[in-house]
Amino acid sequence: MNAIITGSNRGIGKAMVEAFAAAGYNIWACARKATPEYEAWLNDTASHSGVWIKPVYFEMSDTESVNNGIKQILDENLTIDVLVNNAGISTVGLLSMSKVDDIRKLFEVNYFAMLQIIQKVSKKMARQKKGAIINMGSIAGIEPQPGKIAYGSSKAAVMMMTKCLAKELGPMGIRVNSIAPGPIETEMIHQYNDEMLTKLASESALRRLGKREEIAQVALFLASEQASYINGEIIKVDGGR
Amino acid sequence: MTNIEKYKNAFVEGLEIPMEEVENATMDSVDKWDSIGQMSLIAVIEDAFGFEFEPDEVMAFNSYAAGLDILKNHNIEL
Repeated sequence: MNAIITGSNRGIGKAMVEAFAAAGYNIWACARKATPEYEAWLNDTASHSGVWIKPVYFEMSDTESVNNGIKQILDENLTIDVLVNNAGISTVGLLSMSKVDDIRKLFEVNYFAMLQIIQKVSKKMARQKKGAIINMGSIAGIEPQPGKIAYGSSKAAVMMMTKCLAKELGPMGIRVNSIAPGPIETEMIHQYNDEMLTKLASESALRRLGKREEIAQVALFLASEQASYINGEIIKVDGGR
Repeated sequence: MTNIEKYKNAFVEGLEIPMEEVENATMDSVDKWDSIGQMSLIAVIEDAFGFEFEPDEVMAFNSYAAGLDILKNHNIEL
């Protein structure tokens, strides 16, 4: 089984690479740029799990770069069983403090690049008559919050995209689902101060932040045959809010 | 196999229609040429000719004849 995972160099994406490799998936691990640490980690993870993991580098905010990256994968002419669209950026800012150009850039990465990747990869999956696509949404796209106008709106768009594509691609044997994580312990969450982190944890019935691995395991489940009749779903993974 | 034969075969393979019906095939006349058939047909043509349909070409591709124009636009000799 072969999987594409975007945003695989940190946070939830990194946990996904580890979880998918441990489950026996070969992986195209997509990231923005190469670093020796990242490549060493990919090599270690691959050899530890007995799979191959190939780094693929492209810039999500650059249409041509995304095209080139995905073409590199498609040119290998291997089966693509799973696409995990995890790459994304997060911002917090009230509308009055936000530049529309910055919001546009966020949408470019969080929404349009994802759509572009799906457009390319789903063609391949349609030929296979099989595939699973997992798009990272967010609780921020479900629960309105001040300061989340950009990020929340982009994730709401991703989750609606998921539902529409599930209908469109389902007849071709392609399942499309989303995960909507609550606050997770990643680099992204360090934009908040301690007081805010405590507040975020207290909003969960489990009174803690989520772990990256807890999201990765849900992605692994959605990719698997155990989820073969799950399509167009948004799975909230937030500890109960 | 000539390019026109490859193109006709794509309809036989992608839409599962007999060769004698290929030249008159349109989206309206072929039951299997729905959105799923369209993707399947395009996949076979892309594999056969080594190019990728642009979204506006996918929209324009509604008949055997329309497909010939698309092939010509990709400099494929027919």
